[in-house]
Amino acid sequence: MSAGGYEAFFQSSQFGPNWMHGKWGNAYWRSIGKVLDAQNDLLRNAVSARTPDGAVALGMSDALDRAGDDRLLPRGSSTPDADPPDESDASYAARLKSAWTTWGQDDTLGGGGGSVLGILTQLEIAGFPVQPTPPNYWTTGAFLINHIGRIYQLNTTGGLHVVGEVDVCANRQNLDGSVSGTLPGFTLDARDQFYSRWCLLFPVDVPSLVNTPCIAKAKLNQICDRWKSASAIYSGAAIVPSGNFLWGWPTGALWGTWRATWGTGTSARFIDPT
Amino acid sequence: MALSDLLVPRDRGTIEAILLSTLQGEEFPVTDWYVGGVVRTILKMIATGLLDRETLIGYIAAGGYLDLAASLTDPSGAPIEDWLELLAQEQYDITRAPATFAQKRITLTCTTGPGPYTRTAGQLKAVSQAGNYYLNTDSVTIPNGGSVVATFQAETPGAAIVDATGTIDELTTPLPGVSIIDAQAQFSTPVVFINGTGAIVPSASGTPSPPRTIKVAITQTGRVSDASAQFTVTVYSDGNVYLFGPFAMGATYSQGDVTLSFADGPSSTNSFLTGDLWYVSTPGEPTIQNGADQESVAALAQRCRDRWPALSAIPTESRYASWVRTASVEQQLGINRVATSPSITIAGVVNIYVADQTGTATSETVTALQEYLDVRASDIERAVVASAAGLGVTVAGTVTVRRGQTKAVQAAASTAWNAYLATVPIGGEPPTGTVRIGKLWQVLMDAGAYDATGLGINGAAADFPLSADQVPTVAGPDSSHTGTANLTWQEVS
Repeated sequence: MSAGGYEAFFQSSQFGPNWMHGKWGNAYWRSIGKVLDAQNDLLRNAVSARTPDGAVALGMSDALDRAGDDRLLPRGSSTPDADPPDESDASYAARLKSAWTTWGQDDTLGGGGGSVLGILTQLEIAGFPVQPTPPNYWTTGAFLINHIGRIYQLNTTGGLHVVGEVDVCANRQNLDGSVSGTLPGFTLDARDQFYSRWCLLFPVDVPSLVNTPCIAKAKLNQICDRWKSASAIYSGAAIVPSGNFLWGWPTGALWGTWRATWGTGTSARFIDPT
Repeated sequence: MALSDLLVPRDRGTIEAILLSTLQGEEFPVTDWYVGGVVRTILKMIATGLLDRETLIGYIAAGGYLDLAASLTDPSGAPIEDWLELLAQEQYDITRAPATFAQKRITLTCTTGPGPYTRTAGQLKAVSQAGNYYLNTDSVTIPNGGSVVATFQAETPGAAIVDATGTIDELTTPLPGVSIIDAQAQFSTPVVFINGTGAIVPSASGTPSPPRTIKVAITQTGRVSDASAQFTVTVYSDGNVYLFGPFAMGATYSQGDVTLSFADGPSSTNSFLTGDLWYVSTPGEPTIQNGADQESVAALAQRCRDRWPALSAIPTESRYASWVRTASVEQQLGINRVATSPSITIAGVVNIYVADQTGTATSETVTALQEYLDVRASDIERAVVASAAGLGVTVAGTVTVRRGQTKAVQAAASTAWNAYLATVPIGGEPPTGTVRIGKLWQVLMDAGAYDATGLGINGAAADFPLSADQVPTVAGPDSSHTGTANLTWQEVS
């Protein structure tokens, strides 16, 4: 077959005797060749669609979604409740191509599966307001806080900023069981040295994120479950918009057990991890 | 165009219409060509050939994606699995796991007089009361007036080979004076990773309790004779982990009702080296490992996806599950279900429950997996492997079938129900964590039943909930349940 496909080949002298190349003969074989060539294009497309760039070139958004399923990287969104997710094909393809450093570790930024940066980055991609807006670092974006009081947030270049420690947790114990009253912390567990727990804190409202079955909650919990380190226990998220407060976290009680009365009088709300 | 457009082949009529349309564009009088005529028949022939290419386009398109490749079927509805196998091999460097064989530890005892007997691998064939055959895997010498324990492997691979303890009791290659039995022993065969010259031997009076796996880790190189070696002991019991030590090594160490005896090798060398590991489980079940069917396409696709979290240096839950699945394939352990979760009692610990198609995992399998993870977990995090708790599932109800079809429907339903139970995740089917009664309905109807009434699982006419570590056990001679046999069957004409 010539480089021009079946259409050209069937009309060439290489194909068939001369009597096949009259006006009607050529027209007939040209027609058959066109159909064959069109089918060959589909064969090529079937292969090409497997690559992110190929899928974009062909406009096959669903091929990108399939590739994302395989790489455990769903399409991103502009808002947490976007249904279907609205990240552009070009952007999504670029992320799929960098799946190795997304799951592994970026040479410059770090991160990867099981890391704080990995969690916050995926939340950002899913449309949650994770990125702080300078200079309002304490009132915008989202914080990841672990039981021993370390706070993390994204920086403006997509890396991880270790904010530091939270304030003193009055009831947090030393390793010997004594209570100094000077240790920083964030009591997510009655056992004050049970360091496995962590939570998320949104200082801005996320209207679509409510503690009933919804797209935003499902996304949040799936990302936290998939990207956290194996021994870490995700305790949930709190949304505490400006003007509200999170106060009097109960001594000796799990966060979740307090949710019925916690936040009364404010619009702060808790999103449980299941 | 969308990918989905490529997945469904156009039918012959559509292709023929495209051919006619194209020819019409070349001013052929296609409307004058009648069906059955020469030209239309030639076009039909061409369309038939192109139809095969249409199907191939669908296969190629689906073959690039795990879930699509896993669900490919041929025109008759039969699964096509080689596209996924190709994708797994070429893109993920993963080979599909074949079916594996059940292995048993069988005691052969010879009366005084006719022995000893020495037989090479494969010369001894034992049969169970259920009719399953086993061959010895290594050369074995049965002493005169004594006994020996040898490993036998099922003649047929797969999960269907299930025999209760104490039911493999006959040699079909008989030896005068020799009797056999697959009896429970005090201990499993220790799993030994000792690079020094020392040895550890377990002992106990009677069967130790509770069942547990004991791990000895050498933490300081040395000898027993001068107590220079040091070790820690880790006990895994019922999903919990207990750490003891480090201790200076003496001649013996007691762990509950189990005594570990330590012995030096040659006097001029250190007998135990830092990093040496030793495991034993008690009791020692005769089943070394259960047989498993060929890896399902769903499991193969999951192993491919597991490759992504594996890129990270920080293990996620799926990374631990991936390790278990990989170890299971590499060591032919037959694990088909894994559940991981962070411990809520010990910070930094990951609990891992495993089950094979029978619904549990042998102590040998659990030990092998524990060792696999121990050498991979980080310094600040560790995993505890335990067998899922097998839970017998008894179904009840009345099933009506057409006259003469009872046996066929029973057989089909039993096979399908057991296949379902063998794949219910540890902790039950999401999102509610149950064994579904609706599935029982489906199984019976698919098997050809006419009707069913009063269906129930374990006494309730509802989905049966499982706890986080439970998994239903599949019917077999040593199970406490009986598949679908408990159903009441009646015929109508």
